[in-house]
Formats: sequence, C-alpha cells, structure tokens
Amino acid sequence: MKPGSPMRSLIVGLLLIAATNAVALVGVAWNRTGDPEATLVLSERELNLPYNRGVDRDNSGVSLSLQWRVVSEAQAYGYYAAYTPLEWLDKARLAALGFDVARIEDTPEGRRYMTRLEAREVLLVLELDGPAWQTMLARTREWARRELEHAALDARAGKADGTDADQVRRTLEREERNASRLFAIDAGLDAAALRERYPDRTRYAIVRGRIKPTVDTSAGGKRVTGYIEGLEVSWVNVPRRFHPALAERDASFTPGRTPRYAVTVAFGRRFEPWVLTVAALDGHPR
Amino acid sequence: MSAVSRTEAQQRVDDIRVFERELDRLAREQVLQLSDAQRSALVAHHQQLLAGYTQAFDVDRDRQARQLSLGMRIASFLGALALAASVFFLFYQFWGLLDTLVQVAVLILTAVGTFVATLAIQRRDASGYFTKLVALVAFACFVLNIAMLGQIFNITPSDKALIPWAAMAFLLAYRCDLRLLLAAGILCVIAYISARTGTWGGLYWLDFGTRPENFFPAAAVLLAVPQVIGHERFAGFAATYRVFGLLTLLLPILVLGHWGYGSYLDFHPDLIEGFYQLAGFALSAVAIWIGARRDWPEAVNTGIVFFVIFLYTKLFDWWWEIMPKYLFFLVLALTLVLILLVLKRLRAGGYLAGAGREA
Repeated sequence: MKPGSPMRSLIVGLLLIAATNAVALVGVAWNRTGDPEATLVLSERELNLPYNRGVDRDNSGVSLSLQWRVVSEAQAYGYYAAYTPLEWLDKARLAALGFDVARIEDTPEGRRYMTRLEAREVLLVLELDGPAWQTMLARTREWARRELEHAALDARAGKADGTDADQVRRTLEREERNASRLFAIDAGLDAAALRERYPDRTRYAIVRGRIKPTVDTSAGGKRVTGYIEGLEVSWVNVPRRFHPALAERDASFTPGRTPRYAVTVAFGRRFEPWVLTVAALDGHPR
Repeated sequence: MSAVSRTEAQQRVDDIRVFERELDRLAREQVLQLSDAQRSALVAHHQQLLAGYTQAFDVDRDRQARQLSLGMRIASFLGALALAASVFFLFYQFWGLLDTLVQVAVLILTAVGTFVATLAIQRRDASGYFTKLVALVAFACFVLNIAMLGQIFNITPSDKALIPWAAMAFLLAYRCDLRLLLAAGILCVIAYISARTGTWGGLYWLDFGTRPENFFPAAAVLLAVPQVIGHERFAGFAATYRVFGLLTLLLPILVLGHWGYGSYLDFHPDLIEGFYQLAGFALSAVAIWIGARRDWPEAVNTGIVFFVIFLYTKLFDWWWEIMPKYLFFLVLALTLVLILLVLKRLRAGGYLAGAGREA
C-alpha cells in the first residue's frame, strides 16, 4: 500500500465528508417527505424538558425527552416504564416478533435459554390519550380509593406507620394531571399491518423500539412476556425558532402543575420524529 | 537518503549512532583502524545524512533529543484530546443559538476545515507532532458532524455511521503516518463488524457486546490485513493491526472462559467455559510461537500477557479459597519463574532471534 498524493487524499477526504453528510441529509428529507406517518399533539406530560446537569449545563440546545409508559398494576414512570412486563405481550406474539419461543419452558434448560434471549428491534405502537391511559387512570383511582380507606382505618387505629394518605393523593394527582398519556400498546414487524389496526394517525404513532422477553412472576404465576428496553429515538430536538415558547422554563414538572406547553410532533416514513409547532399553554407567559 | 518516512529516518539515525559507538570501541581495542581519509569520508557522509533527515523529518539526533521527543509525543496526544474536547464543547455551548441550516453548515465546514488544515499542516510540519494534534481534531470534528446531525434531526442511531468514521480515520492515518488515527479506525472497524455479526445473530446492534463471540470475525479481519496488504512503508502499522487483532480475539475468549452464558454455543455454560479456557491457553501459546517464528515481538508480548492472565485466573479459581494466601502468591511467583525459564530456552534456541525489529 502506498500513500496517495496530497491532492488525491484531499479529494477523497472531501468526497467522504460530502457523501456522508449527503446520505444523512437525504435520509432526513426522505423521512419528512409526503404526509407524516403520524402527527401527535403532545404536552409537557409526554415531552419533558431536560435537567441539563453536569457537562450538559453548557448545552444551549433543547431536546425534549419522550415520556412513554405501559399499562401495569404498578405505577411505572420514566425509567421504570421500560423493564415493566407488558400485559399485552404473550408467547404467541413474541414468536410473531421473531423470537424463538419454542424452547421457553419452566425447566433448567428453558430458564437458561431465557437468559440467553436478547432484545430485538421491533415497531412499537404508541397511543396518546386513549383506552390504555383510561385503563391506567381507572386502576389508579381504584387503587387510591382502597389505599385511602386503609389510611382512614390506620388513622382511626392510631397507627403511626400506617398508609400515607397524602402520598396516595399525590400519586393520584400525578396520574390525573402530570403523568404521560402516551402508552406503548402493541408491537409488530410490519408497519402497514400495524397502521391498518390503528388507523387514527393523530392518536397512534409507530416508532422503532426494542423488546426483550422475560417471565413475569409478579402475579404469583410465571407468564412469558417481554419488556420494552427503550425507543430508538427517545429525545426530540427543538429547533431554535421554537425556543421562545420554552424559554425560562425549569425542568421540574411536579404533581399539581399543569402542562406549560404543547408540542405538535410529526413522525415520518422512517418513524423518526420532528417538531412542527410549540405553543405555550394559557396561564403560562412566555 | 533512502528513508521515506520519519520512522525509517529515525531508525537510520539510531543505527548511525550505534555504528559510531561500536567503531570507537573497535578503534580503542585496536581491532579496526580507519585511515584518516576513510574516517573523514564516513563522517562527511553521516553528517550529510543527518542533516538531510533533520531537515526532512525533524529526527532526534541524540539521546537527549529522543527523551524530549517522548515528552512532545505525550504532549501532542494530550493536547489533541483537549482540543477535540474543546471543539465539542464549543459547539455544544452555542449550537442552540443557531438555526438548523446554520448548525448543519457549521458542522460540515468544521469537518472540512480541520481536514484541509491537517493536510496543510502536514506539509509544513516535519516533526509530525502538530499534524497528529490537528488530525485527531479533524477526526473528532467529523465524528461530531455526523453524531450531531443525528441529534438535530432525531435520526435513528445506526452502526453504519462507523463506516465513514473508520474511512476518515484510515485516510488520516495513512496520509499522515499516524498510528493513533489507525487505532481509531481499527476500533471503528471492530465495532462495526461486531455489530453486524450481532445483528445477523438476531441481536440489536448496540448489544453486540453481550455475545463476545461477535468480536471473532473482526479479529480475523484485523489479523489478515497485514498479511494481505503490505505495510512496509508504514512503520508500526502491521504491528498495530496484529495487537488489536489479538486483543479482539483473546479478550472475548477471556470473558467467555468465565461467563459461558454469554456464548452463542448451545451447551452447558460450564462446558463452554472449559472450552474457552483451553482455547485461551492454546491461542495465546500459538500467538507466542507464531510471533517468535515470524519476528513479531508485539504478538509474542501480547501472547505472553494473555497466557499469564489465563493461567492466573485459572489458579485463582482453583486455589484462592483453599490455599493460605502466602502459598497462593508463592505458587504464582513460581509459575512466573517457570514461564521465564521456558522463554529463556526459547531465546537460547534462537526462536526469538529476530525479535525487536520493527515489522
């Protein structure tokens, strides 16, 4: 191998930079051509501002963190939404997602096989403010009702370490007013089939994510299911022209606060999102 | 003046210094006496060579200069890292204040500008220190360029980005004769081939590390490169490929030797661990043997290091719990002495006779 002339190296290098940028930008343009695959109007409940701690303090850009959840018996937000066993996923659907589930059994070999199963990339359906959130809301209200009854009984019995009624109310308030209404409700490998099943493009978005099989033992049994490791794109960059609507907002979105902004997010042909509009909500000046 | 690279020129200068010292010794011992004419001709020739090399490659003409050079190499490496970090944080500090089009333009122009600057500085920098510094920054800017496009446009992360990164690193490495950039390119290649292998095995591409066997194809490629492509003009490049190839082969074997669950092989983990422990001993011994036969000191040294690690971890498994600690460490010391004796016999037998020459 011989080193080329400086001019040849210069041309090769410039072509490399140009071609790489061109491929990336053509991909972006392709994603955004035509009608968006889905367009969701998300609020601060679903798109959180970053905390920008540590080295991120110098970051002048704004990327919003996409908050998605899954229906579960426990309240699972943020990090805990991932790794929560999926109620809608079973052995047959895992097989449809490409996992070899024939050898998943409650035997030493079957359990060893389970530990060797790794996550696969799939298409996930995210539902905004739909039946999944209603289910979660109803479950939380029922849970809160029971807990508050226990709290009342504990208070009457004079228990110092009884159920904390304030904590229960905060959890309920969080579910009603702060928690994300965006739920991962289905998965598949065929986008067209998923879209046929969920035709409403303003309520259902298809995104890329990763599912890993697991055995759910929470209900006492051993149910083969899976959990979502994460989404491929879990942050949405906000272009500079939309920054004023988010200016002077701190990242904390504590229970009791109402959402301060609404963001219209489009999802394109490659299921990659981009921001269409950002609006400051009433009662919160820019 | 036949040297074409700084490394070759430096080697020639070092050879001249050794030759001068030995000639002085031979003269003092009255074994060889050059005539005045011969001596003058020799000195004039050497001075001409040294002057030429100094002008063309800024070589170290004596030991003091060489020691200073080491410090300069370290300084240029650390400086390059700091400068690359500075460029990254500079962009991070201000990119939010720019419109998307300007962000993209700045990223592309920075990548182009630092690349062109690298080639320009290389033509004027005989020492290579400043070239290394700016080349690493150029590579960092190109990585930043593509990574930030991904962030700006919310692009799905992909292992395909590793291909142009590797290409840029190799271009800079071969153009500027920089092993640091060669190592960066090799790391990109390792990550890409391993990620592809993992994907073919059904894994998500970023999870390639969960199955150490994914690294084996990359190891095979790296070990094959210096065999297939001649690197005579690039001092140390072939050795760099071999070292990374051996690390990419032996490190996963070391992991699998103690974590059978990580294997693709569908056997009991204990069996898999035993298999890889044996493979680790065998392959590190093969690396020592081939390294000695082919005059590849880096292969010999890497093989020895891994052979000792495999041996120590095995001894730890067997005896750490049951032996008094003084006895355990005594056994370790004795095994090391045993390895020294074996290597001494190998050396005496002439197996390592050629070791030390640059590949």
